Amino acid sequence: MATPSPVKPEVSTARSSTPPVSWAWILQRFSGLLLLVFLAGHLWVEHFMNARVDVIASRLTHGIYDTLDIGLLIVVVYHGLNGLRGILKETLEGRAVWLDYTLSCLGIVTVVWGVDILWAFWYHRPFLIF
Amino acid sequence: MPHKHTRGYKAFWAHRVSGLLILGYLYLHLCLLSAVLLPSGSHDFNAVAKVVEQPIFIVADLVLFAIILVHVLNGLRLIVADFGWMIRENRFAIWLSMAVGAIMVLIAVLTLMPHLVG
Repeated sequence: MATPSPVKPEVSTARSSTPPVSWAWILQRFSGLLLLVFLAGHLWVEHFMNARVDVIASRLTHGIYDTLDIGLLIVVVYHGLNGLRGILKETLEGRAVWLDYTLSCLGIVTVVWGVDILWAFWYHRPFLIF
Repeated sequence: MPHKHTRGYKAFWAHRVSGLLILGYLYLHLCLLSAVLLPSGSHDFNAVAKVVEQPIFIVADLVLFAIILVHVLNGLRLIVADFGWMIRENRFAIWLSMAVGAIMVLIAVLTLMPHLVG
């Protein structure tokens, strides 16, 4: 999302029609903070806490680790695509609705894809990929 | 967009570019995991793990970590600025966030050193 810099004296004309504080703006900050927690947990669990592949795979069948990864997946997809939306909205002025639909669909597809990868750890094969 | 040739302007672009790179990495990450899962039934994660433990991939991990830190620390600075703090001290805030990032990258390099030297 287009983050207004503290040194910036005024809101740019490109976004003058939107209110200075929108839900997208607030949620970008909250999801960003949430990501910090999730990502720290993800890196710790998957890369430092006994990073042997079979250990990771067996751990991923337990609730708390899945919750961590699904939570991270949903929040990171929201934060990433909301950020992309902010950048694209600066160039695609009148096509915001089309853009929102596309990015929402992309977000849902990405989350389903990610959960399908986790599904492979639970049931020893992915549901959607072959 | 902040005015050109200011520290805020560079931080703004660093935030944007790092954010896009991280989004790109997310899809790369999902693609790699999917590729491993493709031959149904036989997930040879250990073979993949051997490949991605080579020093070149460790260096790539460290670069990724640095890019994430640029985005995280600059993001925290922006949240702090939203509350009206450290705005006039913006130069110091940017410098501080990058210094913290540099120290964290250094710690990561030292932690991963055994994998780097093979």
